[in-house]
Amino acid sequence: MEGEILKGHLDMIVLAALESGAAHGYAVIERIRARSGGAFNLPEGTVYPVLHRLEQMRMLESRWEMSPVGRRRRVYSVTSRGSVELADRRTRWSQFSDVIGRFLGEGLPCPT
Amino acid sequence: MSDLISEYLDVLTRELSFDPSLARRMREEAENHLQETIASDPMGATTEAERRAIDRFGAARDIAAQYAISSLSRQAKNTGAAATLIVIGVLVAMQSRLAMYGTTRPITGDTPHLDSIRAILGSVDRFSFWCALLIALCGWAYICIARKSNATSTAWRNQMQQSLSLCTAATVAVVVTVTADAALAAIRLFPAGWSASIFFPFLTIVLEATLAVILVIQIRVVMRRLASSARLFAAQGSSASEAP
Repeated sequence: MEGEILKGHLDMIVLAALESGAAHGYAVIERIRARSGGAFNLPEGTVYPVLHRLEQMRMLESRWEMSPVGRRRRVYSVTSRGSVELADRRTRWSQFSDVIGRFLGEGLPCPT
Repeated sequence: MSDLISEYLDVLTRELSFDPSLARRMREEAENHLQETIASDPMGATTEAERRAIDRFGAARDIAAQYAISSLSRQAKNTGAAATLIVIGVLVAMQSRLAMYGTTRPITGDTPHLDSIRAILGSVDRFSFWCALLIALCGWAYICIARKSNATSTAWRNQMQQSLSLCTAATVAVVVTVTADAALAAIRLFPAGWSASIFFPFLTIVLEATLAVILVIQIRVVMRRLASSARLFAAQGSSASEAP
């Protein structure tokens, strides 16, 4: 899928990927790839600015922890604010995609 | 760690040099990410696997560019706030010194023949102080407005430069007011010679000078970081809309 299209929705995608549980950056990318069936194939480093921005907006929180192989890694989890934001975006996305789907599928008249 | 990975992380750190704490954090996270990618590569930890991991991670400059606007906006906003707070700090130091003069008269040998110089310095002091406060507030407000606007990277950079220029003008005014304060205090205190009673006025002058130096350093650092980030915006192109 086009990176430019995805970029506008990365916040929502990352929040959704972390909804199932805390994860570090690499695992977030793996989840996104798995849940999208490989369709969302962004440069992996792209996810970090999104994670850091969401953390600054207090939608995510993070902590350092040790990996099973003894490497220090930063693990992110969704805050209650992030959960509310994700639910809100889901609703808006659903409404938006319904309208676009009907518009493209059934040839709705253009609003004047 | 291999040379290839180390070299990539060095480039990433250099591209993020506009925000040293972010650069350190990002380097550690990127290193961890690349190591995991290499570990999961079916070919094992080969040079080819390292190259693939770096390609998948993306260009260091593109990653740094995604941080630049939000990080530099935050730094510029902090500089605007610092300029305003420092001007207020100078006012507090000035007023406490004047209050002390009022309660401890006579602590010095007043020199009537220096009245005209004192009057000129007093006027310069007042004028430069109010200029500093007004300009610092304008600079801070401008930074906040620029941060919120949905500007292109070029427009945003211009706004940052203009707001930092306002902060620089405020800094110059602060330096003038602190210099005038120091001269006024010297005229008032030195003829009496060294004594315990000049300790507090001397301390307030040192405090004012320290605040002015902190402001000069802060502005220089942010301006240098803004200048060094120019290459990131050049890579993105001037038409991209990317306000955070």
